[in-house]
Amino acid sequence: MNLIDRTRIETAVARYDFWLEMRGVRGSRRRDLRRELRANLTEASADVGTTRALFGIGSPKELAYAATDTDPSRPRWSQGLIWGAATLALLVAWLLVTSLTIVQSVEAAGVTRAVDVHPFPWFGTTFTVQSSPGTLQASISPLWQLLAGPLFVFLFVAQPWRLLRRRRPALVHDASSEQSA
Amino acid sequence: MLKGVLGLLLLSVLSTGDNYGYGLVTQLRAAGFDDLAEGTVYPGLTRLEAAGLLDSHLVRSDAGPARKYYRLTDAGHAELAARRTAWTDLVQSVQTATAATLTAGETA
Repeated sequence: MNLIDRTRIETAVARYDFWLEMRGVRGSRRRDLRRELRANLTEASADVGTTRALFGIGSPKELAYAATDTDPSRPRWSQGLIWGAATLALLVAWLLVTSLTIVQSVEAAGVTRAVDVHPFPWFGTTFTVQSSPGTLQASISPLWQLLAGPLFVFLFVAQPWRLLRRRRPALVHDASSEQSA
Repeated sequence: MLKGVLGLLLLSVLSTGDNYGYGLVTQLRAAGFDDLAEGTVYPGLTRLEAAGLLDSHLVRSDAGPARKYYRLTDAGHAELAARRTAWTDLVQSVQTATAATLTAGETA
């Protein structure tokens, strides 16, 4: 097998592993599944060629989903982190826009004393702005939303309560994937 | 392929001896399932193993990475017997229904 074919197989295996991780499959199980797919692809590649072998497994994402239908998986930490980080980025951008709007409004109003603003939906957070000729002071406190929002999303997506699930014998479902064969 | 048939096929082939993923694919293709995709068989094996119907072990291969061979467990043998019975009943029912329909069509 040449280097290009080896690379194509390893790429497919890596994509499969990525989606297994996204499904919350634990590391040792992922290693088993990865090894098995690599061995099967190598066999198939030697038999019918790499292109046909890769075509045979279809999308690594769908393969990973089909393989873990009945897996009692661990919490989806990776997905939780991704969505938590995305939420944090969104909140920070929103906060910047809100802050700029408040500062511009205070400056436009020509108010020189300190102004406290409690804008929607930043409940419990106070934006304080003091604008006088030559100086501009702005502060925000407390910023619990920046912690609570991403944390809530992280927990909601990662579902750590999966740790509490007791391992039950998996039921065999051949349904959807078989019908597409 | 009909719902549940893949499991029956995999259990049946494995009842004749241990085999690995791609080996099962080639064996089933040789038996007439030309369009059977690896992407259907591999998850099927994983699900059967997760259900405790199959056991697996690694065997070193000269051709490449170690192969994961599957074998039927006792539960797998029992499941195979149950599925064979269900399949026979289904075939019999279909034959009865289609024969009755055919007879009615001819007399009409």
